[in-house]
Amino acid sequence: MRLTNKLYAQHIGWHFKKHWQVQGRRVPKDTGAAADLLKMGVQVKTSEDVLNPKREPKLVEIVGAVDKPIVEDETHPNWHLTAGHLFGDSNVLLGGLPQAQVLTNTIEINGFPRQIDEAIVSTQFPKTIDRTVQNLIISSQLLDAQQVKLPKIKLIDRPAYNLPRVYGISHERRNRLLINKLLFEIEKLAGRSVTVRRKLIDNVTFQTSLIKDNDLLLFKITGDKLISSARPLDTIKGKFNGDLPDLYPMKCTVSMPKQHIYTENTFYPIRREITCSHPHTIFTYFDKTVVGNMHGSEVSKTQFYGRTLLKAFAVAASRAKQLGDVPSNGVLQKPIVVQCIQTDGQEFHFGVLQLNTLDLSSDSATKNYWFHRPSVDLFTECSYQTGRPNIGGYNSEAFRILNAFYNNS
Amino acid sequence: MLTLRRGEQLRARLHALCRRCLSAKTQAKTLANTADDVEYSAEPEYPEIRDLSFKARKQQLAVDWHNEIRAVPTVEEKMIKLNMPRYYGYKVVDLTDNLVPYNALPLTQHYTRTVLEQQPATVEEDAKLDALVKATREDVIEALEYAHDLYKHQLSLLDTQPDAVQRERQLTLIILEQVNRAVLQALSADFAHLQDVEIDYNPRHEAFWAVGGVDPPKNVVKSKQGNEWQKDQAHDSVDRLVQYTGEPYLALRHRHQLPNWRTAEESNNLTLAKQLPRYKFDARTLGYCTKYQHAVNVPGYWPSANAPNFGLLSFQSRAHLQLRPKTYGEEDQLEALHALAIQSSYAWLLAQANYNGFNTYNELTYPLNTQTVITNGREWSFYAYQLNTLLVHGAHVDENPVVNFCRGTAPLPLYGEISEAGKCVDFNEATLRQLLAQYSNVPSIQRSPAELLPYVRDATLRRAADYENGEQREFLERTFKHLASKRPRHLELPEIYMWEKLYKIDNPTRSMEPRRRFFELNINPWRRTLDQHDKEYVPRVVRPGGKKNREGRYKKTYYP
Repeated sequence: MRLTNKLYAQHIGWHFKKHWQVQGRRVPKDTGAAADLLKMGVQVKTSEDVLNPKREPKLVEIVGAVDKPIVEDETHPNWHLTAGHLFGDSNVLLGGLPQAQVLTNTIEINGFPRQIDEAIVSTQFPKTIDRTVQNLIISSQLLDAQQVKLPKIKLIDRPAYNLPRVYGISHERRNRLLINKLLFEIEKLAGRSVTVRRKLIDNVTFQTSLIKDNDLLLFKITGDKLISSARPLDTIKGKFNGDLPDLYPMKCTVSMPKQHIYTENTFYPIRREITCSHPHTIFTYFDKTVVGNMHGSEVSKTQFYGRTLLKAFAVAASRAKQLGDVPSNGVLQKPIVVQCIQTDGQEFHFGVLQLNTLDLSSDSATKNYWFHRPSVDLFTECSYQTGRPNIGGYNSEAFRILNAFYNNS
Repeated sequence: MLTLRRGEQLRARLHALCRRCLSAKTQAKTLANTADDVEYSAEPEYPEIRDLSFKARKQQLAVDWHNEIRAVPTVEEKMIKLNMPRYYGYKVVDLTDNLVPYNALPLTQHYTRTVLEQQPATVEEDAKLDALVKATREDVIEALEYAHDLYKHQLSLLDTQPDAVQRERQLTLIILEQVNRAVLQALSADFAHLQDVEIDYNPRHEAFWAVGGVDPPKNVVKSKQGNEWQKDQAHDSVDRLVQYTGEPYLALRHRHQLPNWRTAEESNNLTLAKQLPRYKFDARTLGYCTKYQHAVNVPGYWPSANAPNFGLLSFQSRAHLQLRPKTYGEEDQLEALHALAIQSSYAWLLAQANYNGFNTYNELTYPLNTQTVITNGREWSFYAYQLNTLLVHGAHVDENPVVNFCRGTAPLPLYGEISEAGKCVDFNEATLRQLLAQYSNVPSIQRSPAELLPYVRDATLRRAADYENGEQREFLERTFKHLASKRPRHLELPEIYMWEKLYKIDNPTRSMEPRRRFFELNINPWRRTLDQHDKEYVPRVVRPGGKKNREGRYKKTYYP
């Protein structure tokens, strides 16, 4: 049906309406009266001005159900003129481990400290341990009953193709269960004498800021699990030398997003007065859907390693600042040792950081130490195969190192 | 001419057929005469007289279906079988662990067939328990102080504080993880069973069951009253389906069962069963909601051959109770805690029973026990639950003499407060003693697999993973998880548009239009069964039996 009205050509009412419209469009002739009046100094107003005087709309303050978010611009209370370079939970360094080393003034030592190496080799496990660990991997990766929508899977060859959405255990939960179960098993082996001196906490935040060669570095990270201990880890014995890698032509802060809104406060999740507050081991999860490069490319191995180092560094630095006895040259009286484990549920990267100095400038004589080995896979595959849970390529190395890390003191 | 000849031919064939048939009958008669001792007896043995009334036939159909479920060989298939009648899911009453409306206890007791008993707030004097309390006291206090300090410090970082419910949940989780770790470490030297427990963190607990004895909805009454021969049954009760969904903070499981605290004779008590409260109104009158979903039974993990299958202890949240108005009163607050404990314990045990081959229509053959703690970190209430029966549906709600038991305490404070300096004030040892009593309750009952899973096939076939056929295993695994995932169906339920309701259903004004919509063809989309869907196409490249094979064009389905 036509949407316009039917034209009633013979309708008298319609004719009157048209007549009014035509008449209404008549332009009044200029009689010259207004000009004369103006000459005589009389103000002339149009009828519109008298009948509909202009009104300024009044702004009304609306009180909403939720507080208005603070605008993130110059008016923000934490706005600073100089931008800081942020290392957060979701970004990695473009240059990977070398960049992380330069950034944190750390030399890399391939291999663990001696007492950990010895513990890995010498610890005796019950014969059933491999079976138990495999079972707990299966129970955390496959048998948990959570069913949530998992992130979209994209095929690189056919990016427009929409695959059916997979439901299952979320990445975070998978890792949480796996780490909890592994630690439960390790604590059973370790016995009460060790476990009473440790505490486990989930989801902790660390925050600190440091200056490196006129650049402000901001660290704002979360640890997914923190083992704290009643006594700090012993300083690693031995003298280690090495040079920082050369990043030229790259600057060490490349790919770290600049932020104008920040605070320079330091936050360490446990107050220093508490007995069990020394950082022992920090666990971080690596979820490739959350953590990525600025430009969307895959995270490389060295970037993965660099992230472990920076997380460990942020923990150690925030602890050192919390303890508060940092001399002006930045060299700590008593170095802080932190162990860091990064995992995506399958690949485990272990490292030990000894924080000797908070002075990050390139001409600093003292360097921090980073002990690590290439990452190890706990298993190569863990999935349902034709309706049966299946674990393949189990490697007990990761469990042994984890055990050695836990028992290290 | 041609047609005539054809007719004659046919007639001749018919004659031949009849002759053959007659001769076969006479032969059979002669054979039977020789063995007539077997067929005849002195006393006539009549077959059982069946009640052929409509109601009885309906009941018989239901019983047949329940027996069908019982005969299904594996645990997963039983749960799929339960869902077979509905493609779009059942209409269920939605019980959750974050809503307890006013006056929920009678409904809970009716729906779970539970007798509630008060447990004394003090545990019997026991020298061993005293020693344990003394040994763990300091650890627990330290854990409490540590958790509070940690959380307070964490909050200081945030600009906007989370709401009170969220705060309680977060703090309680921290406290529970610390306390649980401390207690397990302190006790595991004395109690070997604590070495073998499996800890679930925020597990998913779900259970599905059917409840009888609820008044019929108005539309059912109306529809029956419109039928002359159904008028007298218009007010008969109609079963309601219930789905519980919960997520406790922690749950501990073990391979063996907890000992029973009620004997079979005590549980089998019709007078006690008759005294149970009955909530005849629809659950929506209290504030519960209904929704459509598949029947899901999950005790926190998927069926597996060597998983610890029996619950030891679960820790429930009571954070949402803060949202209840104060005007509900103290008594209702206590009843809400009881209702929460009964619902969560029943649901967890029912889900465990499902993994042993039982379900709401197939009765348990042995009792199941569990313990439940409801806590907000400071107030702790302790419950013990014994599941004896699962039959609450249909007439069983009146006739089943077996009842379930729950006994619990009022909330007991573990400490008075945490002082400004972070010290624990007024630590209550009696509460700790209750907690330790639950941890130290040794799961001692072991049953043989045949006794544990009486309704599954045999030792070689208990779970879907035991099937020899790989395709079948895969199909069952996928279907089972699909049902449990609650994902929406590929195509939504067809809709009746408003104009259709007006001009096609209420006022049939478009009689000349072809009838193509489902409601014009008398199709009820809710009655679509689980297997009514297009089968999955197998591309020619991967088709077994070669590209030309027309038989394997579609993937086989293995619905029970």
